[in-house]
Amino acid sequence: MNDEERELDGGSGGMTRAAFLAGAATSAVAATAAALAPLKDVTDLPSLEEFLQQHYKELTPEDKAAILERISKQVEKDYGVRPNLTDQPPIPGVEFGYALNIGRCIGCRKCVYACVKENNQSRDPQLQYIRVLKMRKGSIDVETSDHHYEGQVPEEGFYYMPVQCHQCRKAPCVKACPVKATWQEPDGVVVVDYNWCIGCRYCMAACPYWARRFNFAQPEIPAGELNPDMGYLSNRPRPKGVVEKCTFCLHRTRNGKYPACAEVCPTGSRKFGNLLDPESEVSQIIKNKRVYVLKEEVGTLPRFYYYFDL
Amino acid sequence: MINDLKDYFVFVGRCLAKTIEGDWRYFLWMTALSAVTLLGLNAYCKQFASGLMVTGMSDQVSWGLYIANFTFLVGMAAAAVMLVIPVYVYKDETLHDVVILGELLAVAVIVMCLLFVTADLGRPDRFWHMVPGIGKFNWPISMLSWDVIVLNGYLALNAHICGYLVYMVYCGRKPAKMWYLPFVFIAIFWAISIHTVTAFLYVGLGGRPFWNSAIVAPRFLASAFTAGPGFLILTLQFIRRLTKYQVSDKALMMLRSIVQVSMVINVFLLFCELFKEFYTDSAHVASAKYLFFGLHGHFGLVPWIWTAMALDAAALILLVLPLSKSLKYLDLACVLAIVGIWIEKGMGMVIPAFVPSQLGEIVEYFPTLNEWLICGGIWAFGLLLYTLFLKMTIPVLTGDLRPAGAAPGGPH
Amino acid sequence: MKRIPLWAFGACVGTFLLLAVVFAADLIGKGPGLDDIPPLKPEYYDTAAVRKAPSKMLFDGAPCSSCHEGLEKMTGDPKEQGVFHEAKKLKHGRNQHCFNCHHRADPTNFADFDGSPIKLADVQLLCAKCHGTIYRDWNNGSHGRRSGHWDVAKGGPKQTVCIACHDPHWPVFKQLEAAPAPHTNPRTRGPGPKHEAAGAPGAHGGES
Repeated sequence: MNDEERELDGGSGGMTRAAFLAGAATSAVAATAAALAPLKDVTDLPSLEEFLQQHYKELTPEDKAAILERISKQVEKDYGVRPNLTDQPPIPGVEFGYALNIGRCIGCRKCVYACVKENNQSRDPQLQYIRVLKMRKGSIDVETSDHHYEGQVPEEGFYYMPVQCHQCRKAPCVKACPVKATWQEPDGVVVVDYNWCIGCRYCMAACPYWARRFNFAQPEIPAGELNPDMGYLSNRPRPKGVVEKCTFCLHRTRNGKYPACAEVCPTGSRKFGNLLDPESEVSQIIKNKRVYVLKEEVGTLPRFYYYFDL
Repeated sequence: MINDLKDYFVFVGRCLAKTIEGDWRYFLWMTALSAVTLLGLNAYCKQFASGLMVTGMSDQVSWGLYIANFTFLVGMAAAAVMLVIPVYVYKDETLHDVVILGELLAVAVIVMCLLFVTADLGRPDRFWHMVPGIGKFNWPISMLSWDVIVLNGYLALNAHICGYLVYMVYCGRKPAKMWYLPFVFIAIFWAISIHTVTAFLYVGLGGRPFWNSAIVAPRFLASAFTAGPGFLILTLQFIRRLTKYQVSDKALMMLRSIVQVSMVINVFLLFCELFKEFYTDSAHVASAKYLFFGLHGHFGLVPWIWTAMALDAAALILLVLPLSKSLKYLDLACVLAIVGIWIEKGMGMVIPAFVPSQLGEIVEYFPTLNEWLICGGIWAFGLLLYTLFLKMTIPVLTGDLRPAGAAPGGPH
Repeated sequence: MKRIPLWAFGACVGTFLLLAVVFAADLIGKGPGLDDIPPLKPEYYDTAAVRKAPSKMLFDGAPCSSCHEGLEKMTGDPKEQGVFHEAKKLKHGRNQHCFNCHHRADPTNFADFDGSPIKLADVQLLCAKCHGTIYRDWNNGSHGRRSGHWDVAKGGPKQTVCIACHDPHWPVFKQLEAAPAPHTNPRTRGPGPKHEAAGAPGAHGGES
């Protein structure tokens, strides 16, 4: 060993290993404690009941009642409004379908905001279920579409194609979910249990229609704007870190009403109804109009149809 | 029985005691790794408190660096099998002494994989929903549920094989074949399966044309069998320089052949994929175009992928030339190949599938500092873990650590 | 036993203590924050129809009978006769004549093919004279706005009459101001070029 190395190795002037380890361990513990400091800002840790809540399909009616009450209390605490929170079951003999008149839509985006308002979507960060694509006439390639148009609509030479969840019969998102937090209801609506989703976002990767949104932060809704008519599987306020999506407003539609986007459309381009009823608007449209589905080649069999007049 | 158990705990205790022995080099190395790990831990605490908004991910690009690193590391873990196959299938003893080191690497790397997946979760507090039996496991439908099973299974298999073999060396007993051979052979298939399942995670998505290609699994395996043994070539040289453990040049050269062949296959498969994308030139080429040439004025990944291409090409040339029989050039080739594959398979595989989005929107992904810190932290923690594993096992393998009373012997 | 040099101890403890300070003072930032997004305006989600369908036949607020008394047939084109109706802008396909729709003898009603009157309340029958297929679609729900209930058992849909959306004298849908474009996520704004959407005019031939 030469002098330099002896110097580096401490020679006899260094310290014992025990003393070194004691000092190193103490300072490492201090650094670790400081590293954990951001955890003091955690405000949304789940309560024990919430943490232990079972999967939706395992819940008894009593469990559900208790959960609805717990969530109602939380909403009342957070927003100062007592919500009318229900878990409306699907209606037997009903399968929801949607049809959108691609020739009539003028791209005004009222559906986007009616949906935001109805479904208590986060305002900031902004979260919207419906995206309206401004398409050049003569092309159905979404890659040439403009999502960020502004001003007067419709613009000459363009048509508009709103896209939202297509409630696919063969839904790739449902297949993807590792914990069955998202599934298809008997009336065809693909729902998410916000209390079960682990936030892995595999469903978002799987969806061919970009229909799913993730709560990257705690959603924020001004207290005065909260819609108090809520469904457990639809528009109740969501926690951060979970995925959400269009549910055809099932808290409305399972009570016989039109979804908010269909109700607001100023051109009447949005049509909604029961696919199993041959007299319903959607059945009539499929029967009489020229209908197509988006990305048919992916084989998802959507319940959302685009149509145009002859 | 009780005594056996006692002996085992004494063994573990003595191994652990070895981790606080060492000179200043060892302690500074561990300090550096702990410091980076803590930076990652701090960054993760911030993410836990504020949500994934501290990352660069968005609704359009919903997976980023975490899943990219995860994908790369699953490959590293699977690569342990490339040491096992020659030894146990072809009875070629060249690599016999380094098999354990490869499997230890697999254990450390799988832990990193699991940490990367956890870092990516929006609700890590709900991890138990994924535990079969008490949660609600979407098996066998969801590819992600398969991944949870194969990764944890692989971790258990390798932990068992390493633990058992090392303990037998410590005791100076001959390992009983029934306690490790079946596991070794299962682990061989299992290693292929972890990377195949991870590939299927992507391949199975019809809505993502960039991933929806049958060649992804073979590509993953080829790149894994390049990067994994490449990493071991570097590690083994450190080990033989810093410890008494003997690693022969012959073993390194055998690993070189593995890396060499895998790299050739890897580049060939990449070429096949690129031919299909660009020659067909269908609408589905958009993601590949974005990756290699930029799309509509967006060039986020272009510098990355060309760096990777240059590194891959340089590594390939070095590896096929006899030049890389010299360790200096072999090391260089390995470093180039590892970095190249990390980019190509991570950022280059995961991100472009999201650009353009399913609705044709181009939203780019820029990892934030916080995200890089978390990734760095997990990498440092993995290296820390591997260092500890080596620190625990190498004294056993060199015969320095033996049961009290037994005479210290040579390597088994 | 080898001893550990003091400088190594200093480096180790120093690193950890430095880290503790960095963490405690939160010196490493959190990355981009949120933008201010303007609040929703009620008009973005107003469910009212684009125009109000009149319930009574009025002109400038006055009933037809205040000028047109009796049921004697009017002749010629009222627009050419000055006074009031000439200001009415008519841009409805090939219809250049008031009495294509309005009843010659009975200005509070419209005229069917055979000259029998159509009441304002049944205005869709007037429109159906030319727009037969649209009328069919309107009846089965594939044309026009519906609101209320899709479920007939719960009350059924409320149909919106033609003239609640279309100005009968100028029926083409007028342009509207679109509600705001989606907000661009601040996290996705990298150092690269400005993130205008693909296909935005100018981006790649969107206007051609």
